[in-house]
Parts: sequence; structure tokens; C-alpha cells
Amino acid sequence: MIRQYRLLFRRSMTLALIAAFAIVLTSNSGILADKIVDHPDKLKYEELKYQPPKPDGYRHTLKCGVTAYVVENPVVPTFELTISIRTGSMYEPVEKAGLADMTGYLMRNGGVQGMTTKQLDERLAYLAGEISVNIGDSRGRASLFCLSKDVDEGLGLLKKILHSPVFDQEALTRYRGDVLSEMEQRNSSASAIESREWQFLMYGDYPSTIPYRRTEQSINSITRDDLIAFHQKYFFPKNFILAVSGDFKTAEILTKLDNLLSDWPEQQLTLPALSDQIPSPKPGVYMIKKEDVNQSRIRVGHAGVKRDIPDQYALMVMNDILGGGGFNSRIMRRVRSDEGLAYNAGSMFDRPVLYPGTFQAWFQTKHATAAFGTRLIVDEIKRIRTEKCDAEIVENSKASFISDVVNPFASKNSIVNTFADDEYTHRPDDYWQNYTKNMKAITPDDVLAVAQKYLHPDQLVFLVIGDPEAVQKGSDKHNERFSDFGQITIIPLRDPKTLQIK
Amino acid sequence: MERRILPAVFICVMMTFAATVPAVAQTIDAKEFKLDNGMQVLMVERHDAPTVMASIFARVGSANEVPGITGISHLFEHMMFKGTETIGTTDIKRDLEVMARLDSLRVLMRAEERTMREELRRGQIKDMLDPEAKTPRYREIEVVFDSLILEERKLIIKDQLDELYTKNGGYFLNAFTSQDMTGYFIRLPKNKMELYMWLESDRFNHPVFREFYSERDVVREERRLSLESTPTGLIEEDFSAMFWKSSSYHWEVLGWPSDLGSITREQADSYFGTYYAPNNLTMILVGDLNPDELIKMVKKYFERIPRGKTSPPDVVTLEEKQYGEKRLIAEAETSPKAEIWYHTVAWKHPDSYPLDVLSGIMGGKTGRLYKKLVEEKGIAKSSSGGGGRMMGGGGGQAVDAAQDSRKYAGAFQVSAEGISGAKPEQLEAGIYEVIEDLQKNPVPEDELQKVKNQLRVQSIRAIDFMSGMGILFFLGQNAAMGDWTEANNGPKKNDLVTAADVQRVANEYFAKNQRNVLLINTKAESAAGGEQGEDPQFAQAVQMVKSMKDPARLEQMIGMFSMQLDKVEDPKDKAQMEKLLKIANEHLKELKATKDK
Repeated sequence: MIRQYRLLFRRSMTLALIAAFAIVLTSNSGILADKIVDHPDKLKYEELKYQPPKPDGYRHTLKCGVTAYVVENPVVPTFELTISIRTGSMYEPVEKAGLADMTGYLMRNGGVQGMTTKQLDERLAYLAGEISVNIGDSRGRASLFCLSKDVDEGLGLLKKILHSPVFDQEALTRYRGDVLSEMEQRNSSASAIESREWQFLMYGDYPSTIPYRRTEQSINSITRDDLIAFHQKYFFPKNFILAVSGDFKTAEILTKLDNLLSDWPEQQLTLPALSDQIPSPKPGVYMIKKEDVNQSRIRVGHAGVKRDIPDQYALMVMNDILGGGGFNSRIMRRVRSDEGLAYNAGSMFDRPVLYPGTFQAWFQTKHATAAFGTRLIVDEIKRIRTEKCDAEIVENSKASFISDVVNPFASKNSIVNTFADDEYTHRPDDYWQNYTKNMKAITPDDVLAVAQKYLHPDQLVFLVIGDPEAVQKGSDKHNERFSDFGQITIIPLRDPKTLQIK
Repeated sequence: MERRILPAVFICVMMTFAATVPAVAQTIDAKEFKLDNGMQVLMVERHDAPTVMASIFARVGSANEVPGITGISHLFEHMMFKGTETIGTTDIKRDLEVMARLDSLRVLMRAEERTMREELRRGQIKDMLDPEAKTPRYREIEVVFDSLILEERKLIIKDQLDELYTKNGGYFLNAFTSQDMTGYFIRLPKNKMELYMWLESDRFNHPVFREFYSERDVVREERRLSLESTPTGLIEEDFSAMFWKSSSYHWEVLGWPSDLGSITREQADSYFGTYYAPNNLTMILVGDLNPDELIKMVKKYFERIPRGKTSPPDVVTLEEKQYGEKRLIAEAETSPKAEIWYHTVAWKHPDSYPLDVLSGIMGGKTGRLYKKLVEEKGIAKSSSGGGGRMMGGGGGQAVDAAQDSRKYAGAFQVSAEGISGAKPEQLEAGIYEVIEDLQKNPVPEDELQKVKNQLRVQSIRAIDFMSGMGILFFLGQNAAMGDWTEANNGPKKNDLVTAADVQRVANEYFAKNQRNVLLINTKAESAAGGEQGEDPQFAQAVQMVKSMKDPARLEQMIGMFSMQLDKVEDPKDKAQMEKLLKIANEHLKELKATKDK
């Protein structure tokens, strides 16, 4: 068949000549318009004028003052409700770390008034419906899915869970046991160690680290009364934002939602404000001893920014080119494609809404090449601050971000959830309307400017999870050593149950 | 990165959905076209967003392979991302020359490999992949071969297909291969459909299999990662091969390693010519589109591709009857497991519907298996923590049942993962109790209705999933099996299933001499004194002792145990306590030894 390839090739030379003649001969006859171009870059496209939906069209205020984003979706006979709750494990006391998660789990799995968990599960299974309650780091989420014909019963069950969970003591003991036995495996995954230590390193005792600070003691100290108190403090209508989609009439569903949220005591809650300063560590190399792995995990970075800074668009493009854009980004090219050091390499600006995030670049490689790969990454960070990017690269990156703007609105359900999320995170109403315009305005100069403003090669913190001895030994083929990057601090693994450094 | 990896996990979710959801209660309003060259085109309008989900399904998978080229379908899926005469190269002329030279060198190397294989059979060498085992001539050629590979690499534009799509707003670019089909897909802004037609017709017309030989190594790595380095991957491959005696489901999609290394470009070319001809393809487009307009563009680009010279041959080997129970007993570093498979029926067989319903009665958190094995006997896990063979596994059901209706044959599969210390035989016995009950007694009406409700909702959710993606997979699966309308007709048949049907199929297919049983014992456990395994509590205690890392605490515990020992009167309990103490003391010694290091 290779013969055929070569044949094809020769033929295509001849064909090219014939085609060239054909073009000359037919160019006046209009056939050209229908010809297939010889390279996809020559294709012309109709401009796609996409205007994302506006939140006003979906926003409703319920009787109790709560906002609900509602959309009718008659195509499928189902009903979906997601409630965002202003809470999170960031707000639990550190000595009771784990409380928020446990409250969420046991609201759903610790029985409700008049029903055991088993009865609830059986009923939901018969209806082929689902209810879940989860409390994450900075948000709680409760959701209901059912057939639209069962919406009354579904909402009834959800109300019991949100309003009057009983927190069965036996279920609490069982779940505590699960959490503790899982805790024993805390050091088995190098990637879990990496995330945890990065948090501790960059944020010190900042509240965002509380979700990482669960210990045997904190879990054991959580009582049923704590769960009741946590539930009472955060689960009241004024603290909710709703997103609803399904096969219903909006007016009818609004009445049902009013009922869902009725008979609830009036309550107030002020969440503590967070400082804009995070206590980043001294630049340098921090090695966590994890000797039973044959691969090091390396994360390099420094303090970063919040989500809503004015430079966010240029920053997105800059990071996309640096290490966020997958196979075509620079870090991936250098570390994976060129040098074959790692399967996975990249960078990101983690930009939380409420507090400053971090910039981080990462890869995983065998111990011997850890320092060499790190050098490649540091060089790329420096390069994007000094060399202006080609306009074409910037345009490609912008184009992919612009076409991604449809994602938050790809289905009816995602439309209302996007707007509920935006309200939860206080995004301006016109954010999506202006997104494309803001992205289009970015120039190579802007990219260079944000690289210089937000990347700080002199402040880099290097976190290495691996075997410090092997890592420091490096490889014969490369001269790079971690001592090139700063003072090395070696930290032993924490005890999985106390988090104390042994 | 995320662009590629997320979709990969997502495909698994989607495939699982599509595989376990036999039928769709919603009607999919697809418009069907047939091109002059035999290619089938299906379009569905969905105007939620200005995008189109696009895919091409080839009606070929590992079941179409024969010994000697197993794994070629999956290798092909990789090769289809390597470019064409236009895409993926800086110099097509030189590129083709290098490839031709590589091929001629491979002919010489294959002759040497034949010698090596002969030496292996005669016991003169132990492993063909061992560098020491290679013939001197082979090593000579290999040096030239490797330098040519490096030269080829310089001519390649890596991932150009990916780049062209991404910069034009492409999303989810990916592909998958199963036993019965291969699918390629992407989501694009609706104004970029011509780009799709250009690139896809180009690669389905004139693909160039660059890096053919090095890609076989990548696939071999994939096999290592997904089968060989998971605790039970190879055992499951073994079990599946035992179950499928004569049918071509006998081998995994990834193929046998020795075949993978021996596939030639000639074989690949002939395979492509047969199975990737337009008459063996279905294109599916779902999204913001106008079918009657778009079909013109499809024709313009795809009718350039000629119909295949021969139609793809039928898979003629049937799964031959089984004449006795088959058992595979294995050990692995995993929780105890039992899997029981029965031969059933292929896709669209009338009994596949009651079997689907039956799997719903048995599986799930409120199903019969869960009630028997988790709640009543307390021997199975309530959820599966460990990653399965599929990417992103874990968090799944630890007890489950499924009717796997494939294109050419079918299997009913029941599995249970035990808590540590449970014996696989206990799980097996519990599963039989569930089955016997279903054979003797009709399923109560409300339980039957529950399963029908769930099947209905599952299918609605899958269809509604990711706006378009769900429909695409449903249509694709059914079209690739041979009839896309089954996506609409199947559910009606599910709804008609009666309790008597369920009882009948349970009796008809679940016979003792038809079953295949896989029992996996925990490796570490069996070394620590597996005879005691019949007491899960004891095994749990052993597990607990062994997981302790702090010698001081362990010592304290040993002290407490020793004190208790005198008070225990039951000789059986006492023996267990003594055994546990012994294990604890041994573990303490180990702990101290590691600490001293």
C-alpha cells in the first residue's frame, strides 16, 4: 500500500497541474465557487453573531424575597432544581473541621421527620428521582431531579431534607467511621499530598485551608448538636439562590417554590469578610518526603489574584499560551512534546471569587529529571514576560475562548445554573454580553503587559513531592539542580490523622 | 490538556450510559440521508446553542478482527489522528519516502522476528522484547530504523488536526473503539461545518499513517496502563476470554500484545479499505442546523470518496454452545470479588428487553443484590471505591447486574465486590440466592414498575445530556449496530415486559451448566491466614491491625488483647484472637524495623 501512497503522490503532482489548468479554464464559469480549497485555512466562514442570553429574562423574585432563575423546557418531561446555599467548610471552626461536609451528607442520609433514610431511598428509586445535598469549600448545593409529573412529591421530599433533617445518631457514627478510615489513606496519593501542601504553603492558616485541616480529633469532636446548629445557621430561604428548569408553566412553578420556602423562620447571616492578603511563604524550594513513589510531582508558583480583576481576559490568553492551552501551549510543548519528560504539564491562574488565588505551573516526572523540567518551566515563565507573542498565537487563543462562550448556555438547564452561579459570585449582569467584545480587544501588547504584571520569577515557590535524595541527585545528562532555584527546605510527611509533621 | 482529558472521562460516562440504557422513551426525530457512495447521514435539529455535535461512526470494532491482527481497530483509531497528505507534515514527498523505507526495513525485521519466535518456541531465548534476545542482524537494522524514525519526526507537524479544530472553536475532539464500533467526534460552532467536512472527508479519504510503528508502542503502553498495571485487569481479560469461546469477543479491544507488535502496514491499509469505506460509515450531526441545507455540503465533500471495492465481510463465527460450568479462581491485590456471567442474547433479540429489566431488578441501591449482599448478609461493599479498568473508575456500584447486548452475541453479567475478609464464595452463594428467588417467584408489580420508571428516566437523562451529545451517542450506537430506529423502538418494548417475562428469562438463561464464574481472592489476605476468611469481622480486625502505622499504639493494643485473651472461653474465638495477636506482633516487628532504618 505504500506503493499506492507514492503513486497517489505522483498522481497528485499531475493532478495539481491539471487542476491549475482547470482553474484557469473555468474561473469565469462560476465553478470555482464550488471548488474544494486545498487547505482548510483557506475556508471562509459566515460570521457567527452569537449573543448570550441575559439574566433578566429568567430572573424571578419569590414571595420570601429569594431569587429564582426559571426556564421552561417542554422538550423533556423532567424537572430540575438546584439550590445554592451561602455556606461552606471555609466557615466552619477549624477545631471542628469536617463539620460542613458531615452536615450536608447527613441531611440527605440521616433521616427526615417521619421517614427513615431507607424509606426515602425506596421512594426516590420508585419515582426514579434524585436528591443530593453537598457542602463544598465555599458553597452548599442541594438538588432535586424528577419527572415533571412527580414535581409536587419531589419538592415535598426536598423540603423535609432542607427544613427538618433529624441527623440520626447511628448514621452519624457510621459516617464518622467512613471519614476516619478514609483519612488513614491520606498520604497514599501523592497528588492529594501535593494539593494539601500547596494550600498550607501558600495560605498558611488562612480560612481557605480549613477544608484541608480535618483531623481525627476534629472529626471525633463533631456532635449531633453541632450538625443541628450548623444546619440552623445556614439553611434558611434568604440564604438560597434557585435555578429551575423543566416541563412546567413558570407561574405554576413559582407558586410551588413559594410553598417550598414557606414556614421558615426569618433569619440573618453575615459571612465573615476575608483578607485580600494571603500569607505566601519565603520563595525557595520545599520538598515533601514521599519516598515510595518513582515519580516526583512538581508545582511552581506564587500568590495570584481574584477572579474579577479588570485584566482577567488578557490574563486568560496569556496563561493559555503559557501552559493552559493543552497540546499547543508552550509548557506542554517543551516538557512533553520536545523533551518527553512528562505526560501531564501545564499552568493556571487559580482565581477564586472571594480571596486571592495562586499562579501555578506543574508537571510530574521521574526524580532524576525533576530539576531539568523545572528549569524549562521557569524559562517559559521568563520568556513570556520578555518576548512579545506573535499576533497569530494570540488570535488563535482568543478565538478558542470566544467560541467557548456558548458553553455556559449550551442547554436550558445550564442557562439558569450559569445565572444562579453568577448571582452567587456577584458577577455583573452584563458579563456575558460583553465577554466577546472584551476578549476581542486583547492585543499582544496586553498579553505582554499582564505577563509582566502578574508573573514574578523572583517570587517563585517550588513544591516538590518525591524522594528528596533522588531529586537532588538529578541526572548525569543535565546540569540543573534544585539548589539553583533557592534555598531547599525538606519537610517530612504529616501524620495522616493529626496532620502534625513527625 | 483539559480539552482532551475531560472528554476522555466523559466518553466513558457516556458509553456506560449508552451501554446500560437499552432504550429511549423520548422519540428522537432524526432525518436520514444516504449518499451515492453508500454513506449514511443522520441529522437532528436542536437549537439551544449555536453549535453542532458531529461524529462519524464506523461499523467496525475488535469483533471484526481475526487472530494475527487483534487490536488493529483500536490502533486505527489512533492512526486517524496522525494526519493526511495535507495535514500533519511539512514535506509530504520526503515523508512518504521515509515511510516507504521504514516499511521495507520492517520486512527485513519481520524475517528476523520469525527466527526469534522460533528460538522462543525452542527455548533458546526467553523474551522476544529482551534486547539481548534480538538477533545481530535485527540489531543492525534497528539502528538504521531508529534513525529514520527520528528523521520522520522532524517532518511531522504534531497534533495539527487538534490545532486546526481548536483555533476554530472545536471542543471535545476525541474518539473511541469498542468491540462493535469505532466513533470519532467533536463539537463545533455551527458556522464551522465546512471545516468539519473538509478535515473529516480528507482523513477518511487519504489518511497517512505516520508514526505507524511508534504508535504501536504507545498503544502497548496504553495496554500496560489500563490492563496490566491494574490489580484485576489481566484477570478480567482472562475471564472474558474464557467466557467467549469461539466468538471474536474472545480478545479485548486492545488486542493481544504479540499481535500488536506484528501488525503490518499492508494489513492496516487493507483493513482501512474494507471497513472505513463510506458504505460502512454513519455520520451523525446534532445541533443548530438545517438538514436540507447541510446535506448539500456533506455530499460535496464526502461523495468524493468512492464506495469500497468489496462490502465488509460478515462475522461468521458464532459463539458455540457451552457444555459445562466454567470457573476461574484468581488472586489479586483487591477486595474479594465474584463475577458471574451467563450467555444470553444479542442486540434487538426479543429476550434482550426482559433481560434489561431483570438487570434493573437485581442492580442498583434498592435492588435485590444490594438488599441481599449489603443489607442482609453484610458481606458486600455498598459502593466501589477503587478505580476500575475504565478511566476515572471508582465511585460505582460494588454490586451490579447488566445485560450486555452486543451486535453478535450477548452476556448477562452479575458482579459483587466484598468487604475485606468476605470470601468470594459467600458472594457467589448470595448471588445464587437472589437468582433462585427470581426463578421461583414473579417480581411484584411495583418493583417491576420501579425499574421501568428508572429505565425511562435514565434514557431521558442520557438523551438530554450535554445538549446533543447524548442523542449523538444513542443514535450512533444503534446506527453502528445496524438500525438507528431501535433508539426509538426499544423503549416501547421495555415497557411491555411483564413479570412473567422476567421469570421466564431468569429460568431460561441462568442454568448452572451455562454459567461462568470468576472468584478473586485478596492476595495479601490469603497470605495472612485466609482460612479464617469466613468471619468478616476477624478479617476486618486483621486489616485494621495491619494498617496501623504507630508502633506505640500497636504495642498498647497488643497489651490489651493479651489481657483479654484469658477471659475468652469459646475455643474458636480464642484461636482467632491468638492468630490476630500473632499477626499484630509480626506487624509490630516490621514497623520497628522500618523505623530503625
